Amino acid sequence: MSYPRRLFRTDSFRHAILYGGLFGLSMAVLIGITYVMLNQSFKANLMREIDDDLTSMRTAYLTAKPGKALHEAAEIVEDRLLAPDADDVFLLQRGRVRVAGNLPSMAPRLGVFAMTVPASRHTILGRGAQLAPGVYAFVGRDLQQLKDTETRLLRAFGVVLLVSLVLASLFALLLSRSFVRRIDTVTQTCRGIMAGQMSRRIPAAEHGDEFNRLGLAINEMLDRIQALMESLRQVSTDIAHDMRTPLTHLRHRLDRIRGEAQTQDEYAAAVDGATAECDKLLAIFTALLRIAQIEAGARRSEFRAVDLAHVIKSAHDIYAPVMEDAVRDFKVEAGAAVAVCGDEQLLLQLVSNLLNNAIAHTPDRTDIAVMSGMENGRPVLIVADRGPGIPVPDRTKVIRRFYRLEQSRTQPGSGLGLALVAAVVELHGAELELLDNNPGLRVVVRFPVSSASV
Amino acid sequence: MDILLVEDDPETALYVTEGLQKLGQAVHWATTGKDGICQARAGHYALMIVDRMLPGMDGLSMVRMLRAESCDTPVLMLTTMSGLDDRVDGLNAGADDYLTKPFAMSELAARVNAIVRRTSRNGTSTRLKAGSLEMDLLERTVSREGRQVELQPQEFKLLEYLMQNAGRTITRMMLLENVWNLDFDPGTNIVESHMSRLRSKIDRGHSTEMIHTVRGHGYVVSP
Repeated sequence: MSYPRRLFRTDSFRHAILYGGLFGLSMAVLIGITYVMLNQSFKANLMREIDDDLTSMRTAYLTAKPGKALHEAAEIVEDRLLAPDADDVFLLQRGRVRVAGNLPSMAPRLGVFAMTVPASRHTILGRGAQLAPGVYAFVGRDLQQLKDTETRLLRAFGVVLLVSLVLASLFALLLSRSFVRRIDTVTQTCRGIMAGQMSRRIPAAEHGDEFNRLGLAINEMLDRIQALMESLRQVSTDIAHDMRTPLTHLRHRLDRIRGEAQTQDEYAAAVDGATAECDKLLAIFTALLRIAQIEAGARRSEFRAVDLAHVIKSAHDIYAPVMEDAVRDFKVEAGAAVAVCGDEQLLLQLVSNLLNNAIAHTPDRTDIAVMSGMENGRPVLIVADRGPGIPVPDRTKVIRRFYRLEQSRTQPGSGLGLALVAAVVELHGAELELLDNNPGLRVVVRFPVSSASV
Repeated sequence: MDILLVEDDPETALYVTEGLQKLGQAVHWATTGKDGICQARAGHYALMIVDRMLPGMDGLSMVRMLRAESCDTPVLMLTTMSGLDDRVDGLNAGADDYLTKPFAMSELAARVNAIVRRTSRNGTSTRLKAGSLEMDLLERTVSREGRQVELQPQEFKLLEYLMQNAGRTITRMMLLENVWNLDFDPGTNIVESHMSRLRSKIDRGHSTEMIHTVRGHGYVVSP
């Protein structure tokens, strides 16, 4: 669509034109009412003056000395006609003979009427009356001045109306143009992003109008999408990298079977070994998919009130024999019931993963403790050990998928345990802190306050 | 025993069919949900193994439809590893058990046996017996050759599940799911630790073992 056509098809243009039209219409109605009211009040004024003049003529005629009556009335007319204000029209006649006035004599007509003077084509409004039998008086006003004023008024109104309509149209165009321009920048940004320029953003000021606010919201969304894509890319790279090692091992093993195994038993043992490697790979995939699903948040709809004390008691029931076999001193300090809104299985898996880590990264006879309770009004879950702990700079890194500390590279494990813990924590709107237990590691999960009220 | 397999992937179908045939089962194969429903209506099967993802009507809908027709043939549902909630969905639809692909034949066989046994067991006995072992489910007591054995609650639950399936191999995952109600594998030797404690308690003072390890597959209690 061409640019001008797009200008006319914007919503803002249509609105501005609509408002302009409505403004013009209301103005026309206003003008109409003013016109009619002015006209009526002007005419009412005229009639009052006319009636005053007639009354004074009648009074002069009736109160004059006998024989002087017509003369007195004529004098009033003459006096009035001397004034330079030449709107006034008078006629005083006896029978059909004009005694005074500036109108030709005419057939006496009584009451209020308008007539046109043939010579000037001016319209005259006035009242005719009988002063005495045979004596007729007419007083009127030339309406030409009123007509002229009205014409001028209407013309002025017309000009104002026209100007306002033109202004409204101009305003509509300007509004529409600014609208189209801003939309165009958004469109261009979107096209750019679609073309792969992921870092492009919509220009938007911090404290702007609704357009700016929309732009800011879109930009925030783009930031989030970019971060997610970045993490996805990172995960794919990590997976590719971390899968290569076990797959290479598997391949080597199969190669060796082919070259070295002689007897049935040797084959069986080698195949068992290969199967175990496959199972390890599958376990990594399962863990990755579980993390991905937790991060997707679908499980949130299944949230119920979960008692943290119950979770760690379950963890104790499950882990007590394992800890005994691993020669760790395992303590559970479950206080009163602490309710959080969450998924019991995931919370149990969180504790389970932390306990697995505690066993894997501490020497024999280490104290390992699980605790639940309230801290500053927030439900907390703590897994603490007295092992070597994690150096401060590594604490944020260990949460990443596949990240493993140098010293634990050689130990079994997928490097996904804490990543899953972090995902579960995030799903529950909780906070994860890896603290120093002096010595050892103290993992604290702080749940949101509102979560306890479920 | 006739088993109906509803699976669209020929590779998996072949793997399951061959494996179950070796165990002496007759397997009938359907490739779509509609076909599966027709066959289920026509024949009398002891068990149905249904893939969750099928072309056209999926496994969940198929099971739901059959259950609505009050067909009570036990169902074992198969799925590719994807869903956290797949298990719950499957069980809600009316499946009796759920197994994630890829799986070992021994795992499938163990579950098939457990389901068939569970559904064919009539009445709810309050006493379980396996060899010289006796369990009273109401009194929560266990005795071997008449001598009382003291068990922790977790150990009791573990033995109860094994004895209910006496003579059949129970896999590690089945124990995690049914004894500890875990929908994930904690990945440490939890089952092994609990099992060794249970064993030492019930075998103490006896020359024969009651619980046997089936290497690479699971555990079995002598019937």
